Amino acid sequence: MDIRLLAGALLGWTLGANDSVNAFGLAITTQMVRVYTALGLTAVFVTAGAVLQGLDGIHTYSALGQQTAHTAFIIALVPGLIILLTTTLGLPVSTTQAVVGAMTGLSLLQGSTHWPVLLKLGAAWMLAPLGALAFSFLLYLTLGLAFARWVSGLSAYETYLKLGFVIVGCYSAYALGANNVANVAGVWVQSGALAPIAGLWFGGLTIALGVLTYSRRVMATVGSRLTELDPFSAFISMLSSALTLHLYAALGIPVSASQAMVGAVIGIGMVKGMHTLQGETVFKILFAWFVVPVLAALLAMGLFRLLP
Amino acid sequence: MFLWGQGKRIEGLVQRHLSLVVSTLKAFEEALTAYLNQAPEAQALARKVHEHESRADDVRREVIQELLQGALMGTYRADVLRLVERLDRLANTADTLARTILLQSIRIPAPLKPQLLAIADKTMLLLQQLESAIRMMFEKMAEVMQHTHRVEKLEGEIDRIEQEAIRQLFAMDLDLAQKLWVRDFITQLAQVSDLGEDLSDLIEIIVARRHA
Repeated sequence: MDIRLLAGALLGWTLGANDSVNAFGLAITTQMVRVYTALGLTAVFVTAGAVLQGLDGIHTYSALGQQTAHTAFIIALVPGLIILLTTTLGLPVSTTQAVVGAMTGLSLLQGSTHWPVLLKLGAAWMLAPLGALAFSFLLYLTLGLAFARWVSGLSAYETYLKLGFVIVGCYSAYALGANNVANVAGVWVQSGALAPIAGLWFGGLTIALGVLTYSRRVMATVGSRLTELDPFSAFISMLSSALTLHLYAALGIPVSASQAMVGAVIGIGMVKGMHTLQGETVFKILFAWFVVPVLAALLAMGLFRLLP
Repeated sequence: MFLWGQGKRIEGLVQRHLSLVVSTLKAFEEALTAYLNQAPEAQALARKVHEHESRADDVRREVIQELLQGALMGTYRADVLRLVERLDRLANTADTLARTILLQSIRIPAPLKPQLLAIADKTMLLLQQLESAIRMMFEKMAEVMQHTHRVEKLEGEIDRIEQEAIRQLFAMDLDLAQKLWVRDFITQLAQVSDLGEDLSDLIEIIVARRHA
């Protein structure tokens, strides 16, 4: 085994620790699902999503340029470092944006940048939160009406909502695995260090490891980033974010799970006529859209020059 | 389905607790009426209040036991716990009032008796609305508000009767100790409706939190 794969494992682990919050995080903060149940289900379904539907994203990344084990190592290491830094600063940064930034940096050095693919990815990053916003706006209205009409008693409400949380949480974890496994495994498959199927398992399992070992701590901070959501709003936010991720997974475009969740929560706020997010968080996301890919590109270029 | 069964079991226990709290207050109303009419069975009826309250307490403990063993989660668990605790306060207050009748043989001035009976009567009406609000909460949440609004209205009426009774009491030619003794009894009697209103507020919050 190539020892440099450890950088890929680190990236998978950080992704699992940070981004898996978007699968069951709100179900936990609203106390609808027990923590260990959520972590176990997330680990299983994130791996399933990665293995069963993660290949399209890997193909998209292949279009960004050829990798060697050396460049794959740099591309895996840079997002890992950036996520470590930005998590400390409390910025909801996307692993996808850091990975693509690093890949672009190296392709610029090598003069092999594929601008059409990059533009497609950039547009998807902007559209993903908007898509989640639209989903949550529509789903809140339609499912809200359906709930009010058919689920009238308290016990029935709680039972169906809890069941919904479990199903949507699993779906959300599946969508996260399917959408984001390319960030971890893409460059290793392109470099030939891993076969596609082995790459998908590698990505899925390292993300699952991050979920099981560290995501619980990150989940504790999710509640403080978002203003208090009632269980139904949290359920709609999870569902909308999952649908967005799954849609982009089907298109083979990795997008940010955190930013999709933020879009979904803003959509809820629009229906309710209230601010569900702190303005500062929105600013941080906009900042991250532009700064993170550039920072990743510069770091990757620097490391490429420095490392033999 | 496991989740469904768990919720239904707790719902059944809460409904049973509610019925016993209502019986406690009914028993108290009968005891108070008998006492004010100087009927000989007043003492026996007052003792019945304690029996009902005791049974309500057993069911409350059963609910807590179920919750401690992991039934329900998060806000639903906290809501059920608060609901049962507040319901229990109603029964406890009725029990305390019944003990006052039993142990202190409080002397109520005759002109105040109609007002005390009116408070007890309206408290029972308020309790009927509370009972409906709780049943609706489990069956049809959209209809809870019409009952809680009636609870608020009845509480306001009881408040006015209480104030008028206290005003009349202090205008009477009685010694201060007697006035304070009776005033405390009237205040405690009216407190049942205050507790009922608190419970009604809680029910509104529980439903509002689940309103999409």
